[in-house]
Amino acid sequence: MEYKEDKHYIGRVLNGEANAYAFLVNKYKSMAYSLALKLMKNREDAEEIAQDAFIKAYQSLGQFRGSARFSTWLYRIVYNSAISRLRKSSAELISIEDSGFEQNESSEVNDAYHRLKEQERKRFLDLALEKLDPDENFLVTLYYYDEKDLDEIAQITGMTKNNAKVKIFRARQKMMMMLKNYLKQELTMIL
Amino acid sequence: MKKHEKSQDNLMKDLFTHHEVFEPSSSFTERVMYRVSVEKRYDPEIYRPLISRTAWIVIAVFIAALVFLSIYYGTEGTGYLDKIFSNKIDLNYNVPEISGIIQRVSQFFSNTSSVVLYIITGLLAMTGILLAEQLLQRRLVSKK
Repeated sequence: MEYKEDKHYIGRVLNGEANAYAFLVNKYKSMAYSLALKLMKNREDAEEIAQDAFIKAYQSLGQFRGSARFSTWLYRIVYNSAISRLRKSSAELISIEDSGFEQNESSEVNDAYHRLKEQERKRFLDLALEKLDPDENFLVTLYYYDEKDLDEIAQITGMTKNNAKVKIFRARQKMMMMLKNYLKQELTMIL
Repeated sequence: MKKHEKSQDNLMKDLFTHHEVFEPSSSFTERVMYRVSVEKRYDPEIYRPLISRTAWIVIAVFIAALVFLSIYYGTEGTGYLDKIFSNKIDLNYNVPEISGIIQRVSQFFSNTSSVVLYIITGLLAMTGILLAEQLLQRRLVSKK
């Protein structure tokens, strides 16, 4: 449905109805901006990257083959622009250590997590995403929030499917470790 | 997927139901569309070849016919095209012996049958047309 709708509007733009592009901008601006923000960590830069991505996508809309979704194509432009901007400014990506999250802790953390209130879960998610590498933040958001599959993520980032899978796995492990620590802190505060 | 991995995966999925995307500034769409309107005088770059598919087919048929006629009718000097042009292509004129290379080239042409020369000419013509098309295409894009 989403795919057909996008194709319809792309067709209208290609037939000279440039205003039809506003539909696609409105539909994807939040996600494009959020993804750019995850990498850039700066609202102004993220907005500029997202805007440029929409313009680049517009300029080469005629080359859009339709074999992938428009969103996959757009997010790829966002990702490449942000990465090349980061490389230019040689910004260092802050990395946190790989977690030593044990498999047997999984059910324990799972139970404690479900005791958290909705507001606390949201707070934790924001904190955890903030602590992840920008790249990992980008990947888990695409995978768990936007529900892109590994093939699409590989297309967006230019990584191999396996590499994307490993990175998502590591990010998940880190988040589980952070959740465990967060739950410990919460418990200490209550006691 | 193992059991504990599945459970972690489900937890993450649940966690991300609380995720909120960030909103860009309220004028975001307006600004993008303004830039689009500036771009509007240019069509989105759609690849339109200067020489259409049909034209390519006509050129290919013409060259194929040329080669066929040369092969079918042609022994050296008696080829169909030779008859049309009444004389065979005589490249065996006296080339001053400027250097050994020129001499070798002239010998090559004089020893090569007209059929082969037609094929070479056809291939060169095709290459020339292709190069000219690429060049024109690039000029048109850079003008944009």
